[in-house]
Amino acid sequence: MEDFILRAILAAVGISIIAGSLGCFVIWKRMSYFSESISHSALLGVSLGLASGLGIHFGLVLVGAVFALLIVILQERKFLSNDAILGIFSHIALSLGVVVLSLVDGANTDYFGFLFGDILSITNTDIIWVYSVLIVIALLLGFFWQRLLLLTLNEELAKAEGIKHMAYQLLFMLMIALAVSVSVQIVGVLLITSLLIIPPAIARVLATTPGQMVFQSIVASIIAVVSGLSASMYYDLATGPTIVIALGILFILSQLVPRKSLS
Amino acid sequence: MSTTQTLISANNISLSHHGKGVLDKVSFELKKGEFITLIGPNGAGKSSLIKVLLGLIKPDTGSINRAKNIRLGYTPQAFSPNPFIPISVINFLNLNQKVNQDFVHETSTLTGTEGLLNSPLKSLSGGEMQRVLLTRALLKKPNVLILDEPAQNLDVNGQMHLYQLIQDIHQQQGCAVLMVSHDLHRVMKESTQVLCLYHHICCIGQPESILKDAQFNDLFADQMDDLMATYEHHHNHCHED
Repeated sequence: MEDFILRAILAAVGISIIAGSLGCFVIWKRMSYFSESISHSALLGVSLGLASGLGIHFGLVLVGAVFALLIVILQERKFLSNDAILGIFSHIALSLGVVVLSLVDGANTDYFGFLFGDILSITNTDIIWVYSVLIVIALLLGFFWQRLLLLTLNEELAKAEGIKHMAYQLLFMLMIALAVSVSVQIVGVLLITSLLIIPPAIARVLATTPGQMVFQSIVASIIAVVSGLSASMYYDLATGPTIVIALGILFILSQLVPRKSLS
Repeated sequence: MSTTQTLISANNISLSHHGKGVLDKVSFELKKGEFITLIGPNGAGKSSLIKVLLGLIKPDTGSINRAKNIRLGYTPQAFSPNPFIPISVINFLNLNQKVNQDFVHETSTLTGTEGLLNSPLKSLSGGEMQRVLLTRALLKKPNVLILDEPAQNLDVNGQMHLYQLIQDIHQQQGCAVLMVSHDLHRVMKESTQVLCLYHHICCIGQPESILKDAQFNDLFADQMDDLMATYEHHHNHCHED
């Protein structure tokens, strides 16, 4: 097997585990547009990372975290509706990304790879980054699982039982920024959210406990991402969109499964 | 001489929200073995007072004192769990608290929820949900139970059963209870103390004395006729049939 294929598959599996588990919280918390806005900031992160020479991962996490914080601050002011805030940020972030990238990288920048994913760009360093993030997120989720889950199930009850809402909200957003930072190269800025929400949506059909849902979401993600990746290499198609189509096919199939109890 | 321990007390609590007074110099204490019912019209600040007691809202002035040995059980008003999370009742009861599983079964038998343990949480009816919440609160082995409108959205039968259950828990477990309620009839029967709130404390005392209070009668004018009718009804008729 070619080295770059092996790297791509390794990265894809790692990302599937990260996005598949975090994604459950994204759909439970109804935060898909939040993650969309953060992923749109990713292009700006890439540009700043390249410009500063600190590397794209550093730029991605920093910009993602700053945008997440700004969104939370605006939301807390309760002056605009959440969807308006997210819509504003999402497009400002994307536009800033495109403009800054062309300033940094010259006029001939190939946006396509950043917007829709480019597996050829994955290096050994990227693999190390993906698996470091995987370990950090697994530890955080494992340690705070019960508290995050209670907070997501009912905020008021969780607060009354002494759980600090704001701290966990920020922690969760930081984890989303980390997940986005590792997913850009495989699926691209525009399609990251689908990695976060389609696998849990598939898992929702059969899962009867939160833990099961996370596990099934990861499995569904690995199946779809690896097969999408293979198809994109075999037929020479854009990686991100091919992966998303594979996820889409799995999602449609999952919806055909008869449900035991529709309550 | 009173040696009964005060478990939680509010001292001169004032709170305003967007410049509007919500609570005005509210003071009271909940002692061991007491059953205080908090009543008042909508918007009187009942839920705000509960949140201040729980430490969820900081009052503008005043303080809350809690006994060192306090163990609080709380059931929120109109609880609706996030419907997107697949979780069973038993998993919910165990979430974020380590409890002995025998004790879980024992407690759910007491509250009549043992048959629901494997049901999805979101499939419960209003009455079942209140019982499950009460079970979760009891798993903390509380000596203070704070219940915010537990009988809201229940039918008359469901309300009666739930109030009976709360009464049993109060008596059997020696647990002090602070309950927000609308149901004057029940309140008069069960409480040791009634606290009538309309931003400030209108009156506080034993149920019989409250009934004679002028402020109380003003606040609940519309419900008083009903209440009195029920009482007379009880005196005149026999319900054995």
